[in-house]
Amino acid sequence: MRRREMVWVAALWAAAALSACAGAKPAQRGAAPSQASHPEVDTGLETCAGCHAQATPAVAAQWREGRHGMALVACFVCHGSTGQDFRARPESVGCRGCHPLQVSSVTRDGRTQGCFQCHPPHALRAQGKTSPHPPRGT
Amino acid sequence: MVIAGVLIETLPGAEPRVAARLLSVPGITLHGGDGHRRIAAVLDAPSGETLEQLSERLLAADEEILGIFPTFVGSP
Amino acid sequence: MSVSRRDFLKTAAATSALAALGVPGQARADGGEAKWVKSVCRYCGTGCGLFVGVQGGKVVAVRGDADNHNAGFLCVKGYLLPQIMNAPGRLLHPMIRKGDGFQQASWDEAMGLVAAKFQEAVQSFGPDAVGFYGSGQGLTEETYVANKLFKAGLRTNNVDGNPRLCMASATAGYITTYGKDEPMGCYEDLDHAEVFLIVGSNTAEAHPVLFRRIVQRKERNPDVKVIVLDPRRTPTSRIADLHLSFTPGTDLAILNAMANVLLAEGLADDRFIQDHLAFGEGQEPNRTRADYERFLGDYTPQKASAASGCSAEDIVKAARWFGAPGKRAISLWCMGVNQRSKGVWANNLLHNLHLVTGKIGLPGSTPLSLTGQPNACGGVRDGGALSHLLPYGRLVANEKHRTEMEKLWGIAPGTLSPKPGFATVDLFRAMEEGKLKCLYVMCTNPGQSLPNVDRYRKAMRREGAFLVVSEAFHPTRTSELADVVLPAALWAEKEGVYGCTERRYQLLEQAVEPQGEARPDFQILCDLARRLGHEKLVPFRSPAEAWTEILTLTKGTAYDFTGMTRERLRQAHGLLWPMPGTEHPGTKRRYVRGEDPLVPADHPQRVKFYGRPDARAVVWLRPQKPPEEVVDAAYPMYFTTGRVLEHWHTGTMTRRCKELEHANSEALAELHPQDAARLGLATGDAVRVTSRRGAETFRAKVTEGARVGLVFVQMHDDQRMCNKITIDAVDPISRQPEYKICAVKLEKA
Repeated sequence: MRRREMVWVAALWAAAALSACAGAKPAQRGAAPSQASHPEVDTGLETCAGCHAQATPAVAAQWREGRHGMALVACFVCHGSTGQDFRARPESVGCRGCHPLQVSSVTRDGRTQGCFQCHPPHALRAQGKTSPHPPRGT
Repeated sequence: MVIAGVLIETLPGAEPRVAARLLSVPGITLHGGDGHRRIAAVLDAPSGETLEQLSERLLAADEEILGIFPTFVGSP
Repeated sequence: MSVSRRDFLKTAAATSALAALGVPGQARADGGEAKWVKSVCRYCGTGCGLFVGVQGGKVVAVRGDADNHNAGFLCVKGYLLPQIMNAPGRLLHPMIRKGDGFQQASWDEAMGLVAAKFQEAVQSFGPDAVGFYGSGQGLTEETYVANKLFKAGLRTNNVDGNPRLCMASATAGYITTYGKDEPMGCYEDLDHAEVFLIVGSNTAEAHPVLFRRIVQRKERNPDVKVIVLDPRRTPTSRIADLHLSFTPGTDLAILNAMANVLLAEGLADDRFIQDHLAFGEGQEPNRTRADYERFLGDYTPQKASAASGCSAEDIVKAARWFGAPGKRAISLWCMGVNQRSKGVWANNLLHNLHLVTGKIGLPGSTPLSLTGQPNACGGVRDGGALSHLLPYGRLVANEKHRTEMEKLWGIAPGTLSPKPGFATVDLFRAMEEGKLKCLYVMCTNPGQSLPNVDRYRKAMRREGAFLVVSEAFHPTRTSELADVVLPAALWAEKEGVYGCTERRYQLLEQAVEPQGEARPDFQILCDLARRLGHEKLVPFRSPAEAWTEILTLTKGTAYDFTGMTRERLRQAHGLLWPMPGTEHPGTKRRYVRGEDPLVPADHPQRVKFYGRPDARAVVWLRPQKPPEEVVDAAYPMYFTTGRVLEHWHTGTMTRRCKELEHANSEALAELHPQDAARLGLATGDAVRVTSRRGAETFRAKVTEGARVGLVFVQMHDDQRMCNKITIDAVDPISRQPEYKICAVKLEKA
């Protein structure tokens, strides 16, 4: 354990030093994998769901027929835009904006149980029979 | 248990957006920001390994984060 | 006090990180936990409650208020609100026009110039040479100060606002039918309704959080029926059991035909009609039920079908579902009904359906007009900040009302002018004619949002005209035309009350300090009053002081919310008026015995329409009339405008949000495949849309949801403005323009 801590600390100090030496130039992203964000798409004309209805029909249909699709909670709400803020795998933290009670009810000591364990991505309808969340209106 | 003070560097101008997303990430507490490209935060993890995973996960999940730089590391 | 090793380390870690940040002044003393401040969404008239997350003096997050009507839900626009605070284009200093550009000025310099120009215009040309154009987005206290300053101080009724462009026909509909403005029902009725009649409203995109509630109701109760009347097949139609598409402008015939079926098939509530209704044509309740039935003889489903292009069977089915005995029915409508030259009549016809069936004043049975802006109801309609109104249901033209207001405001008898001021389109026409010399525009964007906009853009830049624009962002399509631009504090940087669709009033608390030199409009207007010598009229040190005065004006009116103190608003998650005492819980359903404090507890019937002298609501005989402009050989297609989910109003805020900028931000000309084929257009091709007033080029989007012969363009794009094309004809009663229908020709560009 101790060793891993040291590795982490050393690596990041090195990165910090690099950044300091580089002056105003921002530090380079190292560990982040490259993300597909469709720079070729004309977002003025196309929506994500429009193309994905053909490209990934099952996933698009899960969303479209689910509550989020019905309420037009579009792809970019969770995934970000096609720009730098695109996230292939949204974090549970994003759910908090609309579902604060539900997220806080599965958060203990600052740790949130991942929403997508019970609410499969795109359909987002809970699979289990019992809910850890308080009923609405209470 | 490892506690680290970190400076999170974001794309210029992205600080408020990144801070908003980080606000409820477990294990991270925000302490301030310059409103433009840097956030002061404390990471709190059971081990150095999870601390490392947390920082990697933040970098991977959030394209607007450019780097996470420790300013302090301690173990209670 | 003992500090654990862990806490010590955390403090040390935080301190080191903050030191590295290099701006210790922005660190929060309490250790950086976000502070959550109770507020309301900045955007549409749904009025979703939310909390603003503040850290280091900045808005960093929002989360929905689970204790408010929206049950914690927000739409994408609300969720992304933090981004607008620091978005590019925030105006941070006053600006004064110098030639074709602007020069930064001090507040004193800018306000000195504004006051001098207004004073000079009043002295040389009389009070009606100046005017105020406000907004359903301003806070109630801001609008109140402007209304009082102009009407009681400068003595002109030239005070109007953009609710004239979105709500005026709904207001006039409620007043003509019931004698009082504002809906009698509430959002909770959505949870009880068994039939939804949605007319001229794309609820799914324009009011997403209310739509979610409708979807939930239908999901839990599969027997619930949803009827949508809209020429376009919008996302709202996805939950429709019946969608009636029709030729634009023919819905009056359809609504009359539905009434015809209700009466012909015995679905009317005879007892309710006898007890509670009167019938009228023109302006007086001068007709009988027999007259009404004769009038409806012209509106058989077959005749309405011929006029509208939708099937007679569908009209009959819609009427039968709506009128089914024992089934609770709600109607929801928006700009498709209001933004029409026959908008008030269309509103009356919707009310008729509820009245003849007695489906009103019951949980789930109500006519509920949806509102476009967050404070159109609270600030402008209720507050009386339109050119013909005085606060809380009083009229400029009514001597008794003027005397009442003069007493309440402590001003000399005869101060208030008996002459109604100019309604919006007339206000800008007066500017065009040179009659109106100075205009103060607050929190809105007429340089983009007015119909036939190029005409009025010229008027705003006319030689001798002086335009002041108070805005959080610059340039906008209006501020670019201004002589003085004042930097207004944005949402979350100021405090005040918003009142939404269902008579729900809510306090938005200040969460952060205004940026740069920006000031809340409340403060700017009080400063203007001081400079014009009217500081005694608006001596308020804070919006809370103005609110205390506002409460006194509602006493004894149908609005009576004297029990809605600042402290109560601070604690509550929305309060519904009437609320005549601090112990009164508020009123979900008006006119209803046992709920509405203005209906005597021993009233013999379940409802009392106390708004009219005879306590009877009026069923109006309103014939089908065509829109102002119909298609012909030269302009063979209809043109209509509307909203999309991701953007709001003129896009000044949403178009500065990163995610939203990439989503649906470009105005496209949406066309049916048949029209596209005829014109040789494919998605992405440039198409020139021309009306008798103007033209604009858009890229085409070919979609099955469009109607043959109809082009749709969204209203939010400031670069491709649909309003160059729209018509500035207005409803003769409400003075609301007919944005929804005009005639155009299309050419491949």
